[in-house]
Amino acid sequence: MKKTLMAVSLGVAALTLVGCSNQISYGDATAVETTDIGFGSTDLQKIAQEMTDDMLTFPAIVALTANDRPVVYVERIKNKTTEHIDTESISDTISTNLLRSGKFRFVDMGRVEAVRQQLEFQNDSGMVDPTSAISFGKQIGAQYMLYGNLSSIVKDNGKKKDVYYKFTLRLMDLQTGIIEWADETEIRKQEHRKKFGL
Amino acid sequence: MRLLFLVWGLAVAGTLSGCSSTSLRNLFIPYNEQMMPVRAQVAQGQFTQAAATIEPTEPDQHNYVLLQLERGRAWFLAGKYQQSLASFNAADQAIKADDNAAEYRLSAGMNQLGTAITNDNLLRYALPSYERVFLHHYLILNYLALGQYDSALVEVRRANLAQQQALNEHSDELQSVVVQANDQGILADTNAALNGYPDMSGTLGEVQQGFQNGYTFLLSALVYEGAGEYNSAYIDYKKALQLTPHNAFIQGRVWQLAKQLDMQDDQAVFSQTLPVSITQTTAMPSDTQVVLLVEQGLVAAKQQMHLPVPIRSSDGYYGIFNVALPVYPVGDTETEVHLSQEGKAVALSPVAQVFPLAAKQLQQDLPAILLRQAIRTYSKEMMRQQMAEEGGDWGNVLANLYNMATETADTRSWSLLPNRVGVSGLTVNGTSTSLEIKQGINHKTINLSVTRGKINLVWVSVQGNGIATQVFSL
Repeated sequence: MKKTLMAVSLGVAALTLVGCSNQISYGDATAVETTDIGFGSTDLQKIAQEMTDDMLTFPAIVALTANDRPVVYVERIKNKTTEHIDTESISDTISTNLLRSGKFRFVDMGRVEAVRQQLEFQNDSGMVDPTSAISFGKQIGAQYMLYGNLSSIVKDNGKKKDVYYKFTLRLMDLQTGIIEWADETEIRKQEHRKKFGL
Repeated sequence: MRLLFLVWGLAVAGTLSGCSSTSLRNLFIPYNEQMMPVRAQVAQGQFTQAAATIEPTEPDQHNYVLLQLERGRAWFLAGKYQQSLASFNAADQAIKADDNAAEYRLSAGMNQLGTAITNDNLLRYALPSYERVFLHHYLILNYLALGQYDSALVEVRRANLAQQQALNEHSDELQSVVVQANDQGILADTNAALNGYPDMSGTLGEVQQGFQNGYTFLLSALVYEGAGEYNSAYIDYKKALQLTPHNAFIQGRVWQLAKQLDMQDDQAVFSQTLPVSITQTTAMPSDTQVVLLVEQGLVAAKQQMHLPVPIRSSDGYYGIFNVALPVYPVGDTETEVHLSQEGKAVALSPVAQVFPLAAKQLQQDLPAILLRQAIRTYSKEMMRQQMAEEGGDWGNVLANLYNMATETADTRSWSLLPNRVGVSGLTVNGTSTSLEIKQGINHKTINLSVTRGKINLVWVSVQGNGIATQVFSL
């Protein structure tokens, strides 16, 4: 009887202590993530990879970049989903991939104000040697604009949830207004609500 | 038979464990009474103090979501948008976690068991659909106030999704309570009992379902229009019009957009159904729109009433029990709000009444609440009889005292929501105007600056002495 009591007590104590300490570990940044049905790192990586691959192998783009490194600016990727998604992060990954391919060059519209402040400091503050100061009006204008949409359709009946994402990206020639390249990628995810739990 | 005392003691201890004065307070004091001081503060315009009074405690507490909603709205009225956003987001996170949790949870079962001899106030607060829609509604307004338009648009879509999901939702709660009553051999004559319940049909008006909310559709349409998404705006204006077919402002917007988007079939229908003053107008639409949204009063709080319910059990027991139930007071006692722009009276078209939504929800929930309460009252009575047998007079007195004290109705609901909402379009020449707001003896004049070439949303909230305003340019 005493032994049984002891065993039960130990069991209860063990159960109580399990999960008492938080565990921290490092994981693979490119591993498939399925914590929940929301937009996650795997979706971001999939979109960025597919878009970059398609763009760099598209015949018109190959011809365009054969002897030149066109200057591109990223307008924005419009979030038309029902989730708060950092679409700037998607465009950052895509523009970084394109830049690293060596085929394109980028101007960053998000930093225009900071650049202006720096140039004003160099030219107007009197603290910078005028011969080394970078003068206004020397920047190169973008020839192409990259922009896109991320939209979703969500269906949820309380037991099953289905999310469909569609990502569209386009490259427009700013001089002619012609869209030189476009691609879209789709992702479908489903989640079944579990029946029993704690 | 000491065992019975032991079980009773354990059940009570189990119910109250983990806790705290908060749980004890929830067990014995109805929610509407707890919220009375906060509502009074809001009516006095002491929004910050009201927000600080509300303490949502921890996410696993049964009132956490509700209190975060109350606090979010109080912070919003105070103009503290970051704090308001944080509260609403906390509620949103907790709701998401609940949505993703398993359908049948051990913890929920234990919670139900704990309330077998207490009351519904210790159940986890089940957020009604219309309140979920209002959560997204105030998230939209918060994001607009903070200048985060993309996030506001995300919440617009989530609000739409919530309205749509609510339509498909069929409450199976009643069915499960009926099964539980049958299992225990309890026959409660709920029909006879409900004869004594106040008739709410007068207050329900034309509410079709307990979640439809024209105010949120109107806000969605305005935000879509501000973002240049005219097609989506048109759809939401039409949904708002379905709910408030006589609203002059919405009629005007629907007609303008139908023409702008060249919706010929719709135009043919609207030219028959909309008033001539709308369809024959010669006024050119201005590129600067000033839309006045006025939230008036606070939605009525649920009260507690006692209703006699005849209960018969399969073993031949019969008795009439006094059961505590939540009820909404019938009759609107709110004082009318009068507005004028630079001395000229502004006519508001009603776009939503929150009270009928709340009353409709209660009406839907009532049979399940009544049956659950009947089962509980019966169980308590059986326990009292046993305790009287085993413990004599003391047992009887103890059980009676406990039963009386815990016979408290669940009067929980988001009680800081506005009662009524009206809309009007203003004409502003130049970039500023003044607006006088009058409700009873309370009076306030506000100066507004508007941005040309944009939709300017003038949001006004009037609760007695508490008047809050904000202009959002979309």
